[in-house]
Formats: sequence, structure tokens, C-alpha cells
Amino acid sequence: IDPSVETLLPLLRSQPPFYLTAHIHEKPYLVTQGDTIRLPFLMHGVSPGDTLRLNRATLLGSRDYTLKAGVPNKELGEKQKWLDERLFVCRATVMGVESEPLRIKEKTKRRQRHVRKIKSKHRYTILRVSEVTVNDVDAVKSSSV
Amino acid sequence: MPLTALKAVAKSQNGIGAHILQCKRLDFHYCDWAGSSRGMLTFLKHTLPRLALSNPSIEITVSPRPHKHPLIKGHYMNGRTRDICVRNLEKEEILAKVEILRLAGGEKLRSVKKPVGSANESVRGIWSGLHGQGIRVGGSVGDLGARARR
Repeated sequence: IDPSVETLLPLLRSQPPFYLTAHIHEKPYLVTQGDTIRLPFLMHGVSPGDTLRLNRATLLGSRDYTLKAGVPNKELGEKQKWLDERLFVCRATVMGVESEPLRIKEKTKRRQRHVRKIKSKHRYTILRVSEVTVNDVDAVKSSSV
Repeated sequence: MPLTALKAVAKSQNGIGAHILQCKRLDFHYCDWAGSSRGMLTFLKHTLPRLALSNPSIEITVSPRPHKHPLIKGHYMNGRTRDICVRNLEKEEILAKVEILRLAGGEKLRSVKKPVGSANESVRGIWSGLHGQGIRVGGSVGDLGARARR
């Protein structure tokens, strides 16, 4: 754990509420406790009431302090750097699945009277962030040792 | 001055502590005479008992709706209702429609551009010009001249 994290994380922890930029499939969502996330896709294998632990995050902040994950090393081919998972806890409950309104796309060619209609009605999983907490650095260090 | 309570609107906390399924009731309507209810009748006989057992929190009613297409009506906690007509569908397809109603929350279908919805105040606070770095007005006189000449 970085020495700057050791000195400053307790200060961040003393200032609830916290915000976290959690990544799901590498897409960022800036959340606080109690927020609703409407994912842009349907998550399979989950049912309403299931708890998910979001472990990929790049930003953890309070009013005056922000913990950022580092800048990715492009030469090594790193796309994204993540925060240390042991420093925070983010839990989300699956609420259900919502649909978008029916969209009809009309496809046709020029000088061709036939028009084809394509229907789309995508479904999206809804999550409710039930917990965003910052862990104690000393507890993290002692458990890892 | 007598003490009065602060007026506050209740915040929805479903999912933060406990989770309650939003679908509270499913009505299944069928017709004995119409051919479009064939799949629905087999569904009611074979698939519905297991569905009801696996969802004890949902109230399930079955009633005839003569000379109409078969219908599934879902009632939700926010008071709204959502109907799905299951005419000419087989029992597996009807089960898929029941899943759609069960997982839904009762809200109106709308396309939402922003993924995160929050009722919380901002964590870092509203920007103030009098705090933090403040407002920096102007630079040196030379800067202004350069900007004007451009």
C-alpha cells in the first residue's frame, strides 16, 4: 500500500458520505450509497434480491479527498488501472429488469416501395447500490500480513 | 414556540436493506372457446403450479375472460398495472412473458440516457467562488493586449 494512501485514507474515511466510480464491464458509474444504476445491458444469471460486490473502481472520494487509481501504462498495454480492492466495499442489489419503449426502425431502398420494419425492445438490469464504505488501512495491513 | 417535526418525504429504500419484489399480483385470463387460449390452457395446467410455488410473494389469480384473447395482468407496488396479451403463444413463450412481468418494477417504459439515478446531495458540495481557489480576475496587462490583438 502506497505511503500516501496510508496517511490520507484515514482522513478520507473520516468524511462520510463517499462516492465511488465503479466499473462494470469497464464502463464507469459514479455512485453513492442508495443510487440506482440502470445498466445498458441485461445481466444474465442474476435474479431480483441478489447482492453483487463491485470490486473494480477507479475513483474513491469524500468531500475534500479523492483516491485515484494510477494512470495506465500504454506501453505495457494496460487499458485501465484499478484501485486496491481491499480499501473499499461496494455492494449492489439487483432490483429487476426494465424494458425500453418499443422502437421500430424502417429500412428501405431508394425507388423501392417495400419497407421492412425492425422492432427493438431491449431490456436493462437495474441495480441499487446498498453500500459504499471505506475500509480501515491498519485493518487491511494487519490482515494482509 | 411549540416543537414541530420537520416535514420530510419518504425516501425509497428498497434494495438498500431488504429487497421486496415489486410485482405483487399476477392475473391469468383465459377463454375456453377461443383457439388463441390453447397455449394458455396448457400453461395453466402444467406450468403455473410450479411457478406459484417458486414465487410465494406473488398473489396469483386465474379467471375466465370469455370471447377474449388470453391475458396476463401484473399489479405492482406503485399501483400501476401492466398487461401482456399472450394470444397464440405456447406455454414456454407464456412463461417468458411471465418472467418479464415478474422482473419489472411497474414503472412506465421510458428510454433513460443517464445510467445513474440519485436522490443524494453531491458529495463534494456545490462550487463556491469564495472558497477553495476562488475566482481569479484577469492576468497581467500584457495578456489583455495579446488577447485583443488576436
